[in-house]
Amino acid sequence: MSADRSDVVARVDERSERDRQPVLVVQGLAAGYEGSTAIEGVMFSLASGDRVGLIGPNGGGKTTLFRAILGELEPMAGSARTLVPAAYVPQVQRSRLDYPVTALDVALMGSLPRLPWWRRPGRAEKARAHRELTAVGLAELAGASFGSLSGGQQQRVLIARALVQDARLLLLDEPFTGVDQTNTERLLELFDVLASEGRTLLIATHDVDQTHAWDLVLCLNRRQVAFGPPEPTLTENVLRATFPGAIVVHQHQGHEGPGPDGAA
Amino acid sequence: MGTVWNALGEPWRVAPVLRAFVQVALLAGLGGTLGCWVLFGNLAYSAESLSHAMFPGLVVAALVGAPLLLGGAIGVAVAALAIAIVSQAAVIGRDTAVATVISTLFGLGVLLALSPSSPPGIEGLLFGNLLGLSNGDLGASAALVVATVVVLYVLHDRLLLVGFDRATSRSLGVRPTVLDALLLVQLAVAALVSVQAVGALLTPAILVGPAATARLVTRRMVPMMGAATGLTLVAGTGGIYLSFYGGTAAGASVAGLIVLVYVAIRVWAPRPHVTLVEG
Repeated sequence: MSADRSDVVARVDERSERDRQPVLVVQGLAAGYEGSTAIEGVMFSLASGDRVGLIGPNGGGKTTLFRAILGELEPMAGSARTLVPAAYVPQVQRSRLDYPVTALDVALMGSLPRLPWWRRPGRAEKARAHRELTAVGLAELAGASFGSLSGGQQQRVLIARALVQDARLLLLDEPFTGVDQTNTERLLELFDVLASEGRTLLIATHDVDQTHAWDLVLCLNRRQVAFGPPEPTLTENVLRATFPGAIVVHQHQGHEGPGPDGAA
Repeated sequence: MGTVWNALGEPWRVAPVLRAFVQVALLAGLGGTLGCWVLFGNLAYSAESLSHAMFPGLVVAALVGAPLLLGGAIGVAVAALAIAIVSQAAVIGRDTAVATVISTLFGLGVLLALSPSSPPGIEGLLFGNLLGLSNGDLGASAALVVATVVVLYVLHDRLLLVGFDRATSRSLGVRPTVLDALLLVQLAVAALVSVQAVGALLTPAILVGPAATARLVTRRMVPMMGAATGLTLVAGTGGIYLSFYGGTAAGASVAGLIVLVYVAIRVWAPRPHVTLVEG
């Protein structure tokens, strides 16, 4: 059940209404820390507009994969090549709620990579940050203290920051953690909008059902278990290999797990 | 004019007191800005360590008649080196290593200060000599304060990022370790400036106190810095008046007022923080 390229190619043909450019090519990637591998045998490629669920157990290597894609971690084997600007959207840090920044301050941080170290973000950068906050539906909360926002709003501010970075590939780390049902749905709508603009979203999530609404799913448990469109890919065997020891409730017989019903 | 105005104006006509006002204004700008980063970079312990560690350097400088700034700078360098060596060698952990080195150095400084050959007035190094500053002292302070504030201004957004979201800062083109090191250097410089005015023991009060107070009443970094600066100005001016008319030690009066304002605001002010908005 490794990367099934023919499936991807077939799907690309189906959705030929959009110009689909490759944005990320991962080939035989192994990565880890201080000589021990955290992930190996990772091989997949993503195109513009793909919404991709990244599932796997805690410690399965999701963060390691993100860091390798961002170039923060040198591959031990193979490569992870990004063909467009990529940005990491971290999990909301509950511990930093009293940090003295507004939503606008946070979005503005996305302009730092473009500026030389001695230059501060100016009027143009602020206008841009405002625009992206508007794009994620937070125009009127730009001046609100980040810590006073709800989990879902904070996540959207961090997405706005990635948009200010001009990211075409967004690496989202458990974006639904600490986000209630209503805001989860708003986030999902936002993801659809971003994908329709041709952005690629690689979304780490522990809710397998959610991934059924997306284009592709990557199952990672220290090695790549499977990659492809959710429907044919998420078989019982694949889920067992991805989450060893977990009780797998099969999607198509109706699920009993938590989270929204994302069946395609 | 009324006697109140006379009383208020009187200290400004005395040259050493006027210099004390200037030094307090410089310290206000320094502690108000850097202090906020010390607070959010969890550097309060470092601030205390640095100001205590330079004490033996100050004493030696006073004994041999060298400039205090030079003595303090050498003291900080020796302390940093000692901390690096002890942290490497021992399995005791960084905090313990720092505490051991600082206590040893501070003890050494006290020993030197209490030796019979010490000139009188050396206790000024412990509690400051706010009313005994020369124009040269003020010039050096001003240069260091301006340099520090300019660096903090230029790097403001990057410091904000590292404090907010350290793990992501590298992918945003900012290296947190470089900024950490820079803040520590700034802190050492700030301790040097402050030690002249309020001494090694009270320096942490100036560097951390106003920022901690401002944090209670503001929610954004720049207003917080403004509030901390204003607070130091008020407490500093008040402390000098207190010293002028009450005969109290100037540095201790300033530090004492800063702490007093913190306690007062802590007790009476409503906390503006975290009000959760849903939706």
